[in-house]
Amino acid sequence: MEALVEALGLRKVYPDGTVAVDGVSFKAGPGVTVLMGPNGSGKTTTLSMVAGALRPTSGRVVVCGYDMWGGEWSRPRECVGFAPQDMPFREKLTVMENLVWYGLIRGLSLGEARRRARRLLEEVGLEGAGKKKVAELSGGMRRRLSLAAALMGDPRVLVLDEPTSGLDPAGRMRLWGLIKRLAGERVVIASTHIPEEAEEHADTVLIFHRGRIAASGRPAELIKEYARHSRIVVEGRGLSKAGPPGYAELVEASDTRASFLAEEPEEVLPKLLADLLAAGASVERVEVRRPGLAEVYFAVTGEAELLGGGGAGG
Amino acid sequence: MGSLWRVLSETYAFLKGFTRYKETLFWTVIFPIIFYAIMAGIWGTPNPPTVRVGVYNGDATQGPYNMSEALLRAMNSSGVFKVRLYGNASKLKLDVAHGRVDAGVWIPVDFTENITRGEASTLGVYYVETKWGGFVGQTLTSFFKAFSDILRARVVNVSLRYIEDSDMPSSFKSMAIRWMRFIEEPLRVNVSVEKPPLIATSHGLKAYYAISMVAIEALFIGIFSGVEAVNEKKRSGTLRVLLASPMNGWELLAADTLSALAAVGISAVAVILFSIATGARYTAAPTALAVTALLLVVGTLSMIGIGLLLAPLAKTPEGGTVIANALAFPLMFIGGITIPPFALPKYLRAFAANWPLGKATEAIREALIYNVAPLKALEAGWETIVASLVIYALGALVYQRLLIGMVEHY
Repeated sequence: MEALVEALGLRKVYPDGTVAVDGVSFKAGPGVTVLMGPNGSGKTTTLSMVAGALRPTSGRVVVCGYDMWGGEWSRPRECVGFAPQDMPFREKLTVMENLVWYGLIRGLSLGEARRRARRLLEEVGLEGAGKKKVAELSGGMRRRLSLAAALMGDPRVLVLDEPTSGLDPAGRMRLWGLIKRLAGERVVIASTHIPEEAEEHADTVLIFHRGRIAASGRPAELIKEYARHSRIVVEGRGLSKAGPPGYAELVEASDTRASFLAEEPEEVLPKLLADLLAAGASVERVEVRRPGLAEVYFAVTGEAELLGGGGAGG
Repeated sequence: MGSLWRVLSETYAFLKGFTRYKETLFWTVIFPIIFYAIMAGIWGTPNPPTVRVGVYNGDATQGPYNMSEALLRAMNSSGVFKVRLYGNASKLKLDVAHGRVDAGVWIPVDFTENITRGEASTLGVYYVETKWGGFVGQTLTSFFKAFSDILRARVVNVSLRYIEDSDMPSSFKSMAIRWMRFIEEPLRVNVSVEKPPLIATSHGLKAYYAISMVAIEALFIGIFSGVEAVNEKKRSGTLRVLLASPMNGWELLAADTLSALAAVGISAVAVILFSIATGARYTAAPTALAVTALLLVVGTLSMIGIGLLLAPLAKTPEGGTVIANALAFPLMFIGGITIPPFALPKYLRAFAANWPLGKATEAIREALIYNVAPLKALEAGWETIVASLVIYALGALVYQRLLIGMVEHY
């Protein structure tokens, strides 16, 4: 695989001593690479360094063959289109005017910026919104506009920080579809705290935990390696009366909710329910979740907290 | 060419948003027009203050040669005095003491009699010395001296007629005539005005204040642009995308500078056009306009440079606003751009006459109002140009350091 982006030993320490990123290295070629992890795990800091907006304390970033922090400022940055989580727009300017500005800062002429903006607005489905002020756009439209803005320079590398933040599941699906369609042969490096997004759309996933990459690889391979077990979630009352069964791993237990891991949930479930009922618990709801990246995250980090607001199956 | 378009990006955004961001429209166009209208309305018409004079006329002379009435006519027609007659000298003195009139004049009973008999007559004048810094006393003294000179001239003319008609030997007569002429006017003063009288007219005064307003805009826009150059971008979030773009630090600075110059230019055009519509007059020579534009650019660059030098002190946009206002407001008054340097206290005059924006403003007035040849006005301002560029260059270095800091610790 041709790696257009290489991050080598990236480290970022802030003046107050906070180590935001600690020795992150990865390569990214054509396709979608997703940085997955909770807030504060170092994803945004890493993306900012890769995009050239933040200098690493140590380490290197090489983009399209150029050292991002070498002697040439412009060349590597011409290669990258960056959309931070809160993409800044001038609210009282129109959609078209904002895109033209993004084109001008990339060095496009006024005429070329206008042409490219019109084309991109069509591609992201905002062709009718060119004269609207940005303040009038919905959340989904702003996300599409952010994508268009990042593409104004026709970059080979797209860096997108939480591109679907604030959207409902349907909106997220649509936007990811758009990203992948417009990405073409580009390198797309995006971040998310929602495991299902990474699982569904990424060619490569980098799992971030406390500033480091805890695991990386294709989603299916990560699941196969780290999360063979399905999760059985039981909701009811008196669930803590039953102790851990020997045939399934108890990972979470309270009086009203218990989670178990089992490799063959179809075989384990009837026995498990019988044991719970025999122990005097009442069962109101049962859910079997196939292993996904949320389970991988738990396996590699030891942290059971659900990522973001969704978590596995949410 | 890519670099050129990057540099134009901020000006593009500014021009597009100019009428849509109400605060931009207000501070760039509406506020300077309002402020100019106030200044021109108050000080735009030559209007010397009026001195209220109470007069107690004790002169009892009847007939057509009453000198006290001639004096009162002269005072009333001078345009400077507002004369009120008193029938009671004590009441007049009381009114002067209480400020109900600015000065009191006592005309003695033998005023006309003494003058017509060739004897000096004494006028009594009473005023409060501290009022108006002595203006009242000086005005009255000047007026009465001028009146006395007129009387002397008449006496001399009458005397000369006697001498002409007398039987004196001719050599003694000519000497006497020369001597009388000398007594009439011992010192002749030829006064030539170097600057044209335009400034003393309403047209010139309005133009003066319009240029003051343009300089004020350059002052505020320049300092604010410099102080907020980095903080405002950080607050709005554009700094991150700009640092990730191919724009380097010098292009970023040039973009901000051009945008600020555009704002000053729009403001200048708005104020000057409004001033012309309300009666201001300027020299319209193309060279004068070109020199004006150059000096305005230079003056604005100096203020941007000063703002950039102060930028490290501003940790937040709000802090930057405080710093910018704390500097700009006093400079507006002590910098010689609103109040002329000669009207300032002595210890401020050197600064007002020599700091870059003050000098640029005065050179613009020379080119547009005082009819100085534009290239000569520019010649007088070359030190200003150099000083401004140096300040701007120093500010640019500070700006680059700030950007490096942002890249390190965004």
